Amino acid sequence: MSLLRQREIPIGITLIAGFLMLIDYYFRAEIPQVAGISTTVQRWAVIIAAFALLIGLINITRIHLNHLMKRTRGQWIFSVWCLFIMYLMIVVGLFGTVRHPIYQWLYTNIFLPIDAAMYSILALFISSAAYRAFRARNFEAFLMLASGIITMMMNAPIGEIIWKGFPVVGDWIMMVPNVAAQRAFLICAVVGAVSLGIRTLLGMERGYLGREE
Amino acid sequence: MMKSLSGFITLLILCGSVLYMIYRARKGVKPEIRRVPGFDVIDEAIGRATEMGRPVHFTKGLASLYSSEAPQTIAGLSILSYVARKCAQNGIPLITTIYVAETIPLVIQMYREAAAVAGVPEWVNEYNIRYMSSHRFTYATGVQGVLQRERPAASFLMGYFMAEALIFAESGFLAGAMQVAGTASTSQTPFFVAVCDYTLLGDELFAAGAYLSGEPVQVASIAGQDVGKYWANILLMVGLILSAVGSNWLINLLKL
Amino acid sequence: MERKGFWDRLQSIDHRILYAAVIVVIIIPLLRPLGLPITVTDATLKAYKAVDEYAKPGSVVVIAFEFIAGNWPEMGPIAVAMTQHVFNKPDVRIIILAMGRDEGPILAERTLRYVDKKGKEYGRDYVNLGFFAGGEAAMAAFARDIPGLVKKDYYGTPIEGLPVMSGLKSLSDIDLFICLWSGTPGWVEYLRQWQTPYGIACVGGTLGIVGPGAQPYVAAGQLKGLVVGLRGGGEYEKLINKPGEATAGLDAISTTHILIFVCVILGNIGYFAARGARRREG
Repeated sequence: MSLLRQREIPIGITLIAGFLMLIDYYFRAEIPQVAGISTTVQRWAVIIAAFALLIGLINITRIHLNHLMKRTRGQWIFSVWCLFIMYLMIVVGLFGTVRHPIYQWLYTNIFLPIDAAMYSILALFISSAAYRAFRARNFEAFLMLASGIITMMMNAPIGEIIWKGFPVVGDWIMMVPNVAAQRAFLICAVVGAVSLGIRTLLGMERGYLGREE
Repeated sequence: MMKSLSGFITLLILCGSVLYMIYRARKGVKPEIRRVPGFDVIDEAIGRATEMGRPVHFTKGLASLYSSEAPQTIAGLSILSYVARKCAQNGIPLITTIYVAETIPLVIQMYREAAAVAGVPEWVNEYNIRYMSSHRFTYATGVQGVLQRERPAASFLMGYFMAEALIFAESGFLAGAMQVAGTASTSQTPFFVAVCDYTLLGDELFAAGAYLSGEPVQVASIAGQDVGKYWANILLMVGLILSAVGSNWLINLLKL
Repeated sequence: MERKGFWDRLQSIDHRILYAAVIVVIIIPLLRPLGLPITVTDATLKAYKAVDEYAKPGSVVVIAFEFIAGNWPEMGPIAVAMTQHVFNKPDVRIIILAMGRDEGPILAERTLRYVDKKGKEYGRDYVNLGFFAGGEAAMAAFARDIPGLVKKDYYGTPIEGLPVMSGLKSLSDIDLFICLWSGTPGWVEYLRQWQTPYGIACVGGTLGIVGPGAQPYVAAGQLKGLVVGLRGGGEYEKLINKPGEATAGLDAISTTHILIFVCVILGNIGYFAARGARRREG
């Protein structure tokens, strides 16, 4: 198939699906027939995405089997463990459902603590990032430093013991400058997203399909 | 009754302004848009990786292609296709770590096209397209592993991110990578700003694909979105004045 | 020259030393609690009062578990405290579900293990409906037609056999929605499909790092209250008078925040001292 046709078909599908969703969102009451079609298309998307996990599974298996075959130094033993645990969870989940005691045990006693440990790493990373970033190099950086310290102290119970004003000033920072900045950011982001959506629907944004030249 | 008439009118205004700018560009009127340092730095980061002979890492975030955050993934993919082409031209490996499985075929296709355009089909190494997991912290662990073991000279974090954004950014920093991030996620932007070398903020991420394409017509469509911002500002100012005098007229109008 | 080196070192403390210090100041208060007083912030109090106001006898409350296993240390205490508060209410029907996270029902089960049921029976007073695939489409379908979407609970029991579900036709029959979320899909999707079109009363619980981004929804009244992070969880535990994991962790929050505060100050002292020294040297 030529490069051109490879692009035309997905752009056409994007256009039809995009307009279908728009019509469904705004004119569901006026054109009730569209609701059924739209729901079906959305279900297709969910089902296709679920099947795509199979591609993911093949991808992971290929990469780790490659490490295993090549005995990649410092890696292959982890690849063995990764494949073992992945297929164990799949087999138990498929044949015993996620409510099976073995699956529940694996989830609660292995997956949950490891996942929580990864999340906990954020505590370390936030400390090192704050230490580097909160440096009063100029006036704007000083404002960020000051507001960062005040909101930090607002969040810690000890802050109020040190100074009664921390929760008051911190709450003001969160509810006034923070909300204002977040709203401005949201408005700009939404305008940008809508503009991207229009370009995509019109078939002008083609970068996500690769660049033709 | 029609759902969200006010939203539909806003959409029409935005559509109209983008289409008008495209029409003007086709007539030969090229709009002036400001330079965004983050876009220029993409080339600089890839150049750095080329000089150091180390790979480039790319993640396009956590949003699927059908979620409400999908535009960020589309924008991330657009930037990825640009980065892939540059990496193929410079002959350096590009490692793409993937969270959303349905984008794997798109990424493979991008690699192949980038290599074909650069005339180096042998550049494509499908082992560099790595699906990690569709579970957030499992994915974060995988990305952290790639950054620590393969020590890329440049890392691009473009798309929608959640709590693990800082894990990627800080791991990249510790690996000595030059980092360019871009997200419209309000809660994660501060972390990227604090840690990364450059951050594309909100609408800059969405504009990246059009900007990097260099096509006047696409660049014109970016100028069209400014009209949307003017419209938002007008609504804000009118709303501010009306609520100061105790009127809910605009609020009720926008609820239509 | 030695002096200048010292100031420079103050600006670039090795991250491994910093990490070790953080781990130490977390572990010490967990082993030997400092017992610092907990004051309740306005946002948490609003959430507590909203639950009091809307979870009245005869009402129906929906709790969505939209977080993942990794978030448990922070989200778990919030989930336990808020769920306990609803279970404390007499004659309230409680529906637990997940539409964004397939592991939500497992975490809901874990939460229920820590909750005193106060005589409420499964199937009669509360139910775990499990996970519904489809994200926003499923949310919209649930809001329009509950019996159309929900056929059985998490354990496979048909809803006809669950008195707790009787008479529930659409979202209009629900009085309060508690959204426990950590990212996307989460609150924003429920806002679009449930809060905006149906005007349902909503209360939230989320991570400390997601909290600032969610404040506009509190300011706009779309969320009646928001419990943020371990601190919010600790405050909620105080309000329902049931100290738990969050209360135990609050001292560790204080010590780590103080450590980061000290490090930031040291970094700035180093920065200004080094800059001054360089200027003097010309």
